[in-house]
Amino acid sequence: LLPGVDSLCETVAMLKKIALDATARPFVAVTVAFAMFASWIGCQRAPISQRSLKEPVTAEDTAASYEIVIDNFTFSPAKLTIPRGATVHWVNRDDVPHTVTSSTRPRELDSGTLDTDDRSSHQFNAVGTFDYFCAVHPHMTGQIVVK
Amino acid sequence: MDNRNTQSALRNESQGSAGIGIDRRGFLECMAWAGTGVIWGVSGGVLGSSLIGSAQAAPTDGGFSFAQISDSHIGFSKDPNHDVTATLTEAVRQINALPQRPSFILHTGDLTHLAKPEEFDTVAQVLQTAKVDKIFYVPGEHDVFTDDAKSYLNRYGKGTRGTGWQSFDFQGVHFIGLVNVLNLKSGGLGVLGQEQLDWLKADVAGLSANTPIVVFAHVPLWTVYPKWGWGTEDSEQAIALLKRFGSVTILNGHIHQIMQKVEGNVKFHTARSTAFPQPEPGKAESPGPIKNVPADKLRSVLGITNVAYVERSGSLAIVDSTLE
Repeated sequence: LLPGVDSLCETVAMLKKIALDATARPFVAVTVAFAMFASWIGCQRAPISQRSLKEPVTAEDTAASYEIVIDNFTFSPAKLTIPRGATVHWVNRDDVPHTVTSSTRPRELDSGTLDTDDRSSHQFNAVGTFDYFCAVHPHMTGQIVVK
Repeated sequence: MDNRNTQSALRNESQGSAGIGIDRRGFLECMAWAGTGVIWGVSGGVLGSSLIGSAQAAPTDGGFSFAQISDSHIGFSKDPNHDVTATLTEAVRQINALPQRPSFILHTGDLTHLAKPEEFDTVAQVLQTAKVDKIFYVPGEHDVFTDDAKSYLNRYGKGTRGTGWQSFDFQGVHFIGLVNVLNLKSGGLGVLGQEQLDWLKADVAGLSANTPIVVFAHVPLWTVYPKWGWGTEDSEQAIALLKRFGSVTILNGHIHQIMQKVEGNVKFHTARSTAFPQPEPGKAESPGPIKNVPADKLRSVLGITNVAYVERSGSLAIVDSTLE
């Protein structure tokens, strides 16, 4: 299992598409090309879950992608530290619906219903600690730390 | 009546009832007035049937009965039950076949799986075939989490207070429907909230202590297993308001299995689901559906609850039957 790598490679594919659209805009094209390279590097590296989380924040991080699997009424990993700008994807592998909902208001995270195999994503652009839970099963809790 | 099943039930019951003071003779008397043997005959099996409350009444036709159904989860379509509409329909058929027509039904929540309009529509279509005068509802978390109960209250909020709290009197018994599935907090259990507790306090303030009380709510009003969220964090405050009454019966759902507890005059009981069973506390990694139930066994783990009230004794007898 390589959590996160699939979606990272999806990001590369998406960026390629954007790059094609952006040929008339050199600055965007350069930026996207850099992001593509950074993501490609990411694809070649160890699975994200095994990466050191203390690496310096770089442009790579804005394309960084993490996956949290919901299975057996558990967010896994329950606690995740990510660089600012990274995106977290949740996927529900349970046979019952769950949500990803911020524990405090205003709610940074509010996924709505995630039925089986549904996904929700959120990009974290601010440093901080983000506690969340499942609004259907409040004993399910998780935490994202953005550094 | 199926004698074999009845006998086996009697053995089970006389063991299970030892702690609440019913001997075999007393139990047989209860059976006589509650008519439960006939119910078993109809259901064709007595798996997990149970009785709480030491009714001492002689056979009588006083009183009434009502049925409880719970956790119909219309919209769920995975293992072990790909047709939850069929099992809810079977539950209604079984209620309609009861020898003593229940006066009404209590649905203790999780009517739907995802609170979708079409799910609520199906619930309404199936339940309108029930031969009862009225059905009372309280929501489960599945009925309210997508929109803070807006859809639920549009359909079932009429005549209720707050987020669906309600009370009514029926033949001398005071019924209270409580809602403990909203404003849930991270890491927490079910919650009633101060506003609802205040309403409850006022609701029962004028009642004499010998008024039998029946409370129905979705999440158990006692702590069954907090690790799985099976409890209500401020339920003790509600129970404290009811302790002065001589007979309090608490009917819950949520955990898709029968559990009972007696605490002084307060009897707690949870009902089976009509959709799918859930594991016993701690007996699985999570409280998710028990998936590996063979198709021909499914209906033996789903069920309805019938509650009979005998006016003379002021007691309630709870009998669970499976959908088999």
